[in-house]
Amino acid sequence: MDFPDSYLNALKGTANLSGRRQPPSFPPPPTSFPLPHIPPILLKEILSRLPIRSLLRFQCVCKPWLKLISNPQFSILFQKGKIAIRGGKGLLYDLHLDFESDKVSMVGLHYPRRKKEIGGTEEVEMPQFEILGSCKGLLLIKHDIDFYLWNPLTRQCTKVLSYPRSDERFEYDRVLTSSRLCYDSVTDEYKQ
Amino acid sequence: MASSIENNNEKLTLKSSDGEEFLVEKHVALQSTLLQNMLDSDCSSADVIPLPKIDARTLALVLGYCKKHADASSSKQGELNSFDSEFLKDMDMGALFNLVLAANFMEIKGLLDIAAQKIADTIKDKPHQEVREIFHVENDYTPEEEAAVREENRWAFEGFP
Repeated sequence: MDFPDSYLNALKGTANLSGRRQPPSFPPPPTSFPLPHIPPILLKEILSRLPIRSLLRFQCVCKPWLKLISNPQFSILFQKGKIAIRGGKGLLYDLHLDFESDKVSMVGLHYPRRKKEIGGTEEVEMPQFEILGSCKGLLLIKHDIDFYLWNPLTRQCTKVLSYPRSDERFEYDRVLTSSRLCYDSVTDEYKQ
Repeated sequence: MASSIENNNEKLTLKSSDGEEFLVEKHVALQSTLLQNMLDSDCSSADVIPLPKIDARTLALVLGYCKKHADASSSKQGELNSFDSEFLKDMDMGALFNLVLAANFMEIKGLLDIAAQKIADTIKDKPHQEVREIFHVENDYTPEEEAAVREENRWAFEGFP
């Protein structure tokens, strides 16, 4: 981190920064620090805390940001942030994934006061799909009889499973409620 | 500072990039994993520890954070949380960037977390053009390329310039 001499001189000129002293217990808010360069590793640290809607917009900042944000490794970093998903009929949902308590809370962006928790033991009725579980930024989603893995960050979706509709003996509901997603860090694989 | 604490507690001296020295109680310094590792190895607390990447103004902030967190008992999490938000409340972007760099260098996880989160919260609703300026990033897209990336994520831009 290099600062111009003018900044350092300005610093020395300000207030009681000379001599050995105790750190103040609560320093006053500083004014107008110069903006240092943020290295890529710390940029990731900051961007991974953004809601997905902001991330998608910030892909337009520059090409290196686009590359960083669309990197699959980034979505593993992106664990605790909020994500926005597009539900049926063009509704936007903002999901908050909390992996410590295994809860996902959902706020309809068009209805900001409605907030309910899904995941864990609760499930939610959504217009066209259900979210059955989440793991390290990936969502397991059921749409009709099909199951999809969805990475909301890259907006890539992969069909992982489909149940036969005609099989009436199949205990459909029981299977659905026990569908979960987990991540095997040894093999770097997701398992349903 | 009460003299009894001064007598009982070991202290060490940290030196900022611009040559200011800070006398710090050891238990406060231990909030930093970097300093902890230095003290665990052969580094004597009598030495002056140089921190060539951190200026005095930022170091004063960092040590204020460390002192509060070192002195608070673990049962006072609520109090620490309100200290943290008050601590960052009126900080400008330059100060936050310097804090993130310092917290990363000194390995102070809690400070890195709250400063990075504060930056994210500050920029999340800003247009990408403004974020470009904040991060001093040069726009390397052609207008056509930028429009194409934007078009792919059109819904995310609703309400933004």
